[in-house]
Amino acid sequence: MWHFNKEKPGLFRSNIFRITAALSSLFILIQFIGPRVTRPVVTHPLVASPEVTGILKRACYDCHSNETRKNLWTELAPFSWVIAEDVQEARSRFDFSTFDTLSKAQQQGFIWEMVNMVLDEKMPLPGYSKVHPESGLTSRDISVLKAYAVSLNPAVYHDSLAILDARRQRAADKERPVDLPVSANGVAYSSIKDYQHWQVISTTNRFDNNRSIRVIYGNDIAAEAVRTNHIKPWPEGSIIVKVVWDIIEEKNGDILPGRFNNVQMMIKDSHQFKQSEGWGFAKFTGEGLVPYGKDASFNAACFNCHKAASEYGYVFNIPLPDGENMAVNH
Amino acid sequence: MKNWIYILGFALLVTGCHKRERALVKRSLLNAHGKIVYTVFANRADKTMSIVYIDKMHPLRGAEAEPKFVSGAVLEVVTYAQNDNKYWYGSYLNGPLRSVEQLTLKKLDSFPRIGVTAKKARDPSLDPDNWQYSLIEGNSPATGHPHPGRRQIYERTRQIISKSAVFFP
Repeated sequence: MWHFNKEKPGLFRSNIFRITAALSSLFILIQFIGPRVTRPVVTHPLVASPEVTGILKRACYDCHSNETRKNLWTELAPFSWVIAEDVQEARSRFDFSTFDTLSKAQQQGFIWEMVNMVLDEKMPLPGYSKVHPESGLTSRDISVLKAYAVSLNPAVYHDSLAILDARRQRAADKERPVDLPVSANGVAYSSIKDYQHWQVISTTNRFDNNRSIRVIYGNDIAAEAVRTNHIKPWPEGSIIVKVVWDIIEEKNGDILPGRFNNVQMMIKDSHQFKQSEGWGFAKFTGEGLVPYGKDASFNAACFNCHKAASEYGYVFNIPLPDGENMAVNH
Repeated sequence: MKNWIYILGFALLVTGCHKRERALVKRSLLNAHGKIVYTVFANRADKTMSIVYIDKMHPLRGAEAEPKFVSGAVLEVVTYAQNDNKYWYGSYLNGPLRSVEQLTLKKLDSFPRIGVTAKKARDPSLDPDNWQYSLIEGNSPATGHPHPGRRQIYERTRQIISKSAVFFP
């Protein structure tokens, strides 16, 4: 028979015991509630070489596929709740288990983005890598992923259709639309109508899923900002225009402009575009200069990508400072 | 009081350094002197990108049947080394300036007027011999040194003038 001391409560009456018992009960109870990490059947997996899929399985599949590996933390609430939400979020962005349901263009876009996220050390997430050191990618792994991305978009040499297409466009040389377009976020093409007489800031050409060649112009304010490196932040009124042409590639390495594709622009107006560090974006496609975006929300999507270039005031393609050189590493 | 002096001194040092760092960074942008972009091209083997500027360009409409260049036209070919774009694998950006070349189309008495139909094969603006070539800056992209021979000048001129103008909307 138990004899309880009124001055010193026994084990079962002590506050520590009560709290511990309550927490234990709660801990057991929460194992039956809350989100769980699901593992649906893999229906349309990414089709790639074993070397590529091996790397991706090690570094990406826990979150970006239905093949999330089981371990104590994925099964034990409340940690499993956090992991389940993270996995759900990651799969909603792209899921290697249903990858083959995407169009080829979508697949290529995701692979190039993934390679660049890896190079930028944004993926695998640093927190995940700490817990899963095996997810770290070696320079050889990265080379394999780069080569895989490049293999998805091989060069087509002397593409006669592209040559003909460009020639037809030049020959037709349609008049510019009378009513100049305005983007859904209010950025008007009229503000850049004389850009051909602006300063060329740089040129780029891409060999990724958007093989193209581009000329980037700046108005007087933007050009001066580039010259003097006053780009953090860019001065109000800066306007940057990027003209994009498809490319015609030749075996000797020549890359020539093909059909005009689109004109993109960035305009610095901190009053109008407070949510995007003052940048308003627009894209006008084809000879008809059809504006991109059904509503103004696309501006946020553009800005999200441009955050990667925060070091350059959110502008990707400005030349390196004088004296700096980054050798091309084909 | 002494602490305030230290803090003020440190603040001045930090802001001063920051301003000096910013002021030291410059980017040279080529002044095209009113010329506009005629075309742009790159070469992955040479790792170069070039912009061709032109001082005057007649409208492209019906260009197939007309001389390609206006008599007296001046082309400026600016060639840069290609750089990797640090923000996007899959993209190259122009790097250091390699050369600036200038091509001037001679004023020929027999030059057909714009609007007069001429067979493309007889278009005098496509004859390299009708152009004056000069290397303004850097080394010749054709030879890699500053004094290209006549043959190289002819070939380089032919290569440049044969390129089509890019379409601007």
